[in-house]
Amino acid sequence: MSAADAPAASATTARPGGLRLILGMMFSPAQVLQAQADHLPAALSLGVSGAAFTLFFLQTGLDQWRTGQADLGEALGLVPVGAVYGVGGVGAVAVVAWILTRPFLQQKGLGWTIRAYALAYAPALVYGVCGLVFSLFGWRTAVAFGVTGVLWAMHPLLAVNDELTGQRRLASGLLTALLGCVMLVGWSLLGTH
Amino acid sequence: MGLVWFPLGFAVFGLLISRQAVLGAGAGALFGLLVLVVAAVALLLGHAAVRAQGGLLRRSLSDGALVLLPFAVVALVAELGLHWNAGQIVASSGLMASVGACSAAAGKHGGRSGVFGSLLTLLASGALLLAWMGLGTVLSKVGSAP
Repeated sequence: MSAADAPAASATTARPGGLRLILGMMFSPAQVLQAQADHLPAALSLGVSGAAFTLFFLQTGLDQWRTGQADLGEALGLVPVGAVYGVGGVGAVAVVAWILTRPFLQQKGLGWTIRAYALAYAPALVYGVCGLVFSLFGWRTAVAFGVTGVLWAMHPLLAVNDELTGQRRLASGLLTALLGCVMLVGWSLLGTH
Repeated sequence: MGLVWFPLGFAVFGLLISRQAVLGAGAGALFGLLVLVVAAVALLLGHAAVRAQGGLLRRSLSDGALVLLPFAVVALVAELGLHWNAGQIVASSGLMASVGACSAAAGKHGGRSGVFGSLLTLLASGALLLAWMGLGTVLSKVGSAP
């Protein structure tokens, strides 16, 4: 690499701002993963998924409070559940994905997989913030924003699984569907019962 | 092969939304073909690399279409396994994600992604979403009691 190439190369690996990172994961996840997932701290990545599910569970609780299914204490009690689910649950699902994709002889390590999986919930965080704003105005937002955000996260998750399966896209799609279902069923069990 | 996921995915969504299976699946499959055509036009107009490089259009559309696969599976599991009324919301998310993924793939494989191309695809997916919501409303009412 020549000296002239150095600034360009460093620009592609420089850590982008938080908003740019989140929007990048939303619209062009494969490129962001290739450039950033090796360098991001795990705490930052897990913070994204933790915050996303915290907001999702909070809105679930607020919806239940508004419809008389729960009192305010029970509704707010879902906040720590969401935080634990967003960090521990997403981490556990990432470990399962890493184990299931071992037969594909992928080169990605467990740390990369956990960081990438957590970062994939960046769209859910965007929807969570927007949903909370509407929720404060009295709307019921858990399904319209929360579920939509988790569904939208399947796009970046597909890019992660493409890497884990060595670009075997059918296997990647089925794995994404399986783990997407697991996350939604987990929310249903923990957040709505 | 990947292109088939547009009509196939929307056939699944139509099947789940409609009370008349054949009508829903058929209308959904036709809508999937419309998505394919609109996404192709948006890519051709918005990405110079797609116009310049042979095969890039098909590759970008295939990449985007495959994004529908997990959405279709989740919709099937949610509706048939968990009995959630989630077909329309999953379909809407899948539509936006898959058309957006076509544009992202064009940018990735073509070497650069322009703002104009991304905006055009966003507008196209928004218009398709409105059309799908209209079609979904019609499909959910056909065959139901007046």
